[in-house]
Amino acid sequence: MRSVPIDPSAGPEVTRYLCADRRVTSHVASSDVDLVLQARRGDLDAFAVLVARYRDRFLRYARHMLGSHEDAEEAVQDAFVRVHRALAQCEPERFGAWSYRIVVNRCRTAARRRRWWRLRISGLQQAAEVGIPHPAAGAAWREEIDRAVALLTAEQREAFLLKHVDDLSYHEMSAITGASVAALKMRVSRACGRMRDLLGESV
Amino acid sequence: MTTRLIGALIVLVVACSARLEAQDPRLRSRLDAVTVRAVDQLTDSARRIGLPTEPLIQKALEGQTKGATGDRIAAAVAALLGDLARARRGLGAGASAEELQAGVLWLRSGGNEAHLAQVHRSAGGRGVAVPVAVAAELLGKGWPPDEATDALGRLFSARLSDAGFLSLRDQVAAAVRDGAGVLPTVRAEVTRLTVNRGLP
Amino acid sequence: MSDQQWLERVSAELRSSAGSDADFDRRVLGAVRRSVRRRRWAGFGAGLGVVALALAGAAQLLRAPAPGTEVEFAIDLPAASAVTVVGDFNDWDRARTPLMRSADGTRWSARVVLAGGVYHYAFLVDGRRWLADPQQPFSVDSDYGQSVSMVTVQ
Repeated sequence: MRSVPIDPSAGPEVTRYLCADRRVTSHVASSDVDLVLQARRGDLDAFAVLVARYRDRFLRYARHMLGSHEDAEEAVQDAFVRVHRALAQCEPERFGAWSYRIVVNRCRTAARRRRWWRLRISGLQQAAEVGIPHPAAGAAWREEIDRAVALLTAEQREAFLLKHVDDLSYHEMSAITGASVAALKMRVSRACGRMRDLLGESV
Repeated sequence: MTTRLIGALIVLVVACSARLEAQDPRLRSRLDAVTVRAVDQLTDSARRIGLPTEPLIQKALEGQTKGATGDRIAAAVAALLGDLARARRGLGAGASAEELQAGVLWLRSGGNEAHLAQVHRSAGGRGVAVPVAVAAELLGKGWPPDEATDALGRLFSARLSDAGFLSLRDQVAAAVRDGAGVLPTVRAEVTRLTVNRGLP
Repeated sequence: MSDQQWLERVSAELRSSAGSDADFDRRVLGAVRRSVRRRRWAGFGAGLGVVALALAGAAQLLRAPAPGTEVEFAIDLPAASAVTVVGDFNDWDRARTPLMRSADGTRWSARVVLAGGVYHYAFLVDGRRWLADPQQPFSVDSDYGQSVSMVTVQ
């Protein structure tokens, strides 16, 4: 199946979705609610559209959380399997936040399991002590941002990504992470300060 | 009449299902039909006597990947089946698949069934997969099996954990990389671990 | 630059992450289908009890997945153009576990989650050369000629 990613926030009327599979195409303009209800009845094509609708957003989050494309794909794949298994427990109109919560949990589990990530962090910590190079020093600016994200605590990283990369409200973030709004605000604020310290003034 | 017919059908269904299970799809897709039959018979035998089949299948797949002939694959699988059975004679009927695989390593590294039986007795019910595998690796580097068997007993008494055994192995590996001899390093480590009881 | 402008530039950069590869959806849906099949088998097994256990693979399908330990396989091979790790944990499949080359081009590595047990493996270099793991001082002779390395997972 070949597809072009769509913006999950776009309404059905502006949805762009090119798909070689006609059965899937027939679902493309459906709302999340319709798709969840159809998927619950065993329609895997409907679930395929939900996967296509959310996967890029989930993968982006998982990649920043786990620091590796492969680990991100594994975690998100696992999350989708769990989402499908538990569809009966999902309020269809809240599918986005509910499935995101499962992705967040899978990433937490994956991060706990990966010793290498802690090792990498400790290596980066040493790099941070001598200062991350200024972006003007080379083309590795993007890499420096990734490193700075990696140097945040897991909770700060989670909050920063949901707030400033996914543009979620604090209430949405609270529903996804299970943390209070006040705690999330504190984490985001600390994450921003730390990022700014690491990356310097001029971007 | 009807009852007998239904009974026969059930037997047929169960037999066909058992046959389907015997023919592992990984074997069917990667080996020629003659080799699949040969390996199938061996895995059937293993299943009947309660030995694990997965190591046998992996052995066959390894042969296919390395381009071995069907005869050679069947011979390797048969040899492994024999060693799994010997390992179980040593480690007891309750040995897990992992313990049996470690036992095979032991047997192939110069140890015998009597050693395994002694290890089983001295383990007092704790799992021996990791200790036996670690010790088998060291047998391959010249640790005498009698001494290793005795050392395992003492390390069990010192309540060395699986993590401790793996650490012992890593200590020896590091020393070997640095040019030290295997035997002096193993002996020094075992002494340290059994004198400082319980510390990995 | 204001804090807000700075934050917008960093966020925009992070949003520009590369998307998934073309195969990702197919893999996800394959995993979902397998999961559905497992659940059907589990339900069938619960309904039919002992009879279900005699049927193909049911016992295996009902078994809970073992917790895993992550193991890293790595080797320094600057001149190689492709390296895979092949062993008991991936059905000795030459293609299933490719190693990734490090940024400096010398080291190849892959991480695999393994359940407890003893595993044999070897590296396959450029699709034709077998190598035991030089990091592992312990290797055993394979029944098929080349040495293989062992890893014991707790």
